[in-house]
Amino acid sequence: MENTQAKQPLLPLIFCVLFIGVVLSCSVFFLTHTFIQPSGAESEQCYDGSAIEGDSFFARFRRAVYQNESLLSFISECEYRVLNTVNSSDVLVGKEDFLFATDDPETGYSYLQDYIGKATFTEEESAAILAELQRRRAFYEQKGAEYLLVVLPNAQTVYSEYMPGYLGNIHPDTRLAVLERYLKQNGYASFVNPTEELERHKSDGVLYNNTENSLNARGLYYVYLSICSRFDNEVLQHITPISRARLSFFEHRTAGKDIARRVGLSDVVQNRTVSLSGDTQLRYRYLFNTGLCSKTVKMDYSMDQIDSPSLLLQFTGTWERSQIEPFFSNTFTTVTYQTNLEQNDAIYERATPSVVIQFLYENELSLLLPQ
Amino acid sequence: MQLSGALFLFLFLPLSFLLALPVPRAWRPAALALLSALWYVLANWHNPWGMTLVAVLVLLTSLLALHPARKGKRAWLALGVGLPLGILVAARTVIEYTALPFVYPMGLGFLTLGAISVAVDAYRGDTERRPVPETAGYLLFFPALTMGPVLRHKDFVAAPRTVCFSLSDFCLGIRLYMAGFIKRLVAAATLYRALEQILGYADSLPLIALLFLLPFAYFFFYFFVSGSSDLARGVSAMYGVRTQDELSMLTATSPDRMLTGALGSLHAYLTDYVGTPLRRLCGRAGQPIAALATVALTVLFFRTRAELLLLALPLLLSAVLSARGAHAQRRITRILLCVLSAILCAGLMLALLFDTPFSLFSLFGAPLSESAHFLYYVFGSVSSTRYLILSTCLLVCYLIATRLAPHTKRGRSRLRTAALLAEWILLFVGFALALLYFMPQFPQYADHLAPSPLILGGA
Repeated sequence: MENTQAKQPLLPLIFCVLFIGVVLSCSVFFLTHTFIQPSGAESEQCYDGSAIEGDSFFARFRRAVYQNESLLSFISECEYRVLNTVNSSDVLVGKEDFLFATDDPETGYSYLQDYIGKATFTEEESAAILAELQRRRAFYEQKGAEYLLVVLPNAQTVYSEYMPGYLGNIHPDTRLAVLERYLKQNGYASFVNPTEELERHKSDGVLYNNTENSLNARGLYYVYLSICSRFDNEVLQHITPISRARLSFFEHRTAGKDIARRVGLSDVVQNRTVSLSGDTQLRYRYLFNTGLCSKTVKMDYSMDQIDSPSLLLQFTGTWERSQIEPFFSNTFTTVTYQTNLEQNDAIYERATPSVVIQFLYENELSLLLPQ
Repeated sequence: MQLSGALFLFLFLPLSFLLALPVPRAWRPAALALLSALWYVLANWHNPWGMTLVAVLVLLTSLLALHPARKGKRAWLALGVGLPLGILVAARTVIEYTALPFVYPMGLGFLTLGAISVAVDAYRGDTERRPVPETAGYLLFFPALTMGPVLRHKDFVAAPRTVCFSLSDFCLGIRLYMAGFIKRLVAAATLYRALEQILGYADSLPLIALLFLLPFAYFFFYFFVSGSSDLARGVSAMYGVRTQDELSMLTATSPDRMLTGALGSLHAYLTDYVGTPLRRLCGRAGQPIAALATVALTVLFFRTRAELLLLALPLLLSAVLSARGAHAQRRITRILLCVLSAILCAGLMLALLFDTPFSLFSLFGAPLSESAHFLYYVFGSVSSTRYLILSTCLLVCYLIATRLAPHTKRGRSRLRTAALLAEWILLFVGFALALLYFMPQFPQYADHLAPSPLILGGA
């Protein structure tokens, strides 16, 4: 081969010139970045998660190369668009622009292990959760209120068909499925799993944020419906759940949410945000709003609605609380929203609820275990 | 400052050529020595004590080469060999057994071999009195200082050194550099990342996963070693020093030649300096003893790790068979040796990826019944799998182009030119891709000697 090249010196020469051109161009580009350091040109960390420390010339030059924001964005975008993958073992790329987290760093929960049935609850854990739920129910019954736990399923539970094909179908022994079976076997009924309701209405449009493990306004509407369907006829005489025909949802693209941000793709993978359209009538007002908790009262309730149950809704986050508020507040005469699950006497006294509903995501089920 | 790193490629390489180009021909060896010293200082600026030690070793060896003994040659040889060995052992002892804040100087192992080569070649009369800058330039010759190949003093002295003014050498150097860069930063780095990711599931993997992991590890080893060698040879050629083809690790394409190929230059070095005298003394037994010495030195270089003894088996077997003559030529023996070498080589690489010795086989504990689904899951969720497929496609294209070119010798010249053009285009595109897409992905890999688990003391 080398002899062949020797006979044809022009070809190697051309590529040598190209080589020199590429290397010198990169040298000038990175040196410029080292000296000028334009704002936003440097990422906080390298592609592999490490960070180059120090303020020497060499450290700054290495940062200009390995923490170059435009290069790293280019790599991330190419990976996502060409290879359909992302630079993180914590995130899976699904179909239809869905991104799924594999782990929850806050709770230590593994979405993936749960999905493939390798992180299920043991008999002892299920029993411990049942005992905890019974304790909570007894606590609120003693105060004169009913208790209901609503578990919001993970995005991959409802949209398992969007998960990567190599994972197969969702395992029948996920934590939520095992817990639901256990609670049913033991006759515990104050528990709502809206998975089936959500699956039934997938044709209505996307129900989850595709870049975050959270329900959008449309999904939360169906959660609201499944909760309403749990009330007995006596309650249903006093309330009228909002029908789907009266609502219109507005779907628009926004910057990628939590999971997209985690892998630096918030500009590439946009979130399909679904919210209630602006012409939705909000026929309620706030009695108070302290941030931690707020109470609404329906403005034009009729006399037969005055006996509708007063609700205390407890959430672990603010997103679901803000999205679900129009549905409940337009239905029930008084609704109090609390952005944690604490048994707070002061809030309870201001809410004077007849029903306490706690919302928990599937990935937060371990919060029910004794700490 | 590794040859595949950003500092070398974007700063040192262009600037060194700018400095070296105007230097008159007669001063080029000195210029090369100065460049090598500059490279060493830049690469070790955080390790002043290590640099001092290396400076002492280089100075003393250069002075010895300047004044070869006329009388008392054996004592002179003992000093020439004992001094670098003593410094190496002292540095190792301080690192291993004391808590002194001493950092092992980069390339001390190669420097020691070089210093011994200076003494032995001078003792044998293969080299004559050499000026200090030339000997220092040889000892600190930076392209070969971190990953080899091991250069012998007499070969270095005999090599024509024109420092970058030979166009054909420069073109060859760039071609080798691009090939080495692609091998290290596209093939080896991706394979390494895939191995690391898959081994993250090690406690849930069934033993059958070794069927996949061993080939990955084998090819990682091959691309890492041959890529590093190509980089070193490429940079050497760019500066006008052609290393001998026999030192090329590129030739080690078949598994049975992998070990001797990977350590080819060391093997040649030991055969020359240890094996040949021993053969004179012990007959055929000299060769196995030389092989044993290769293994012992390798273990010493990479700090004691029990799995490294895996290297010894095929090397010794090969040496014993070749000592027995005709048996080694049998095809079945060669095939068996080939398979054994490949498995042991890959096993060694896998074993080195774990922190503790011999933890490899205790980890694959999952039952076989769950293997199919789980393997699919592991390989599917590892993002590097896609890179592996991509780099395999590129590699196949490149191999087709390189294999096609010699076969077109008998054909029309247009076809030959087309094959050559395809090879250069693939090399250049691969290099540009590696530069802009793969290099930023592997900062630790590009700028360091080897991935951290494989740095077991460094040479």
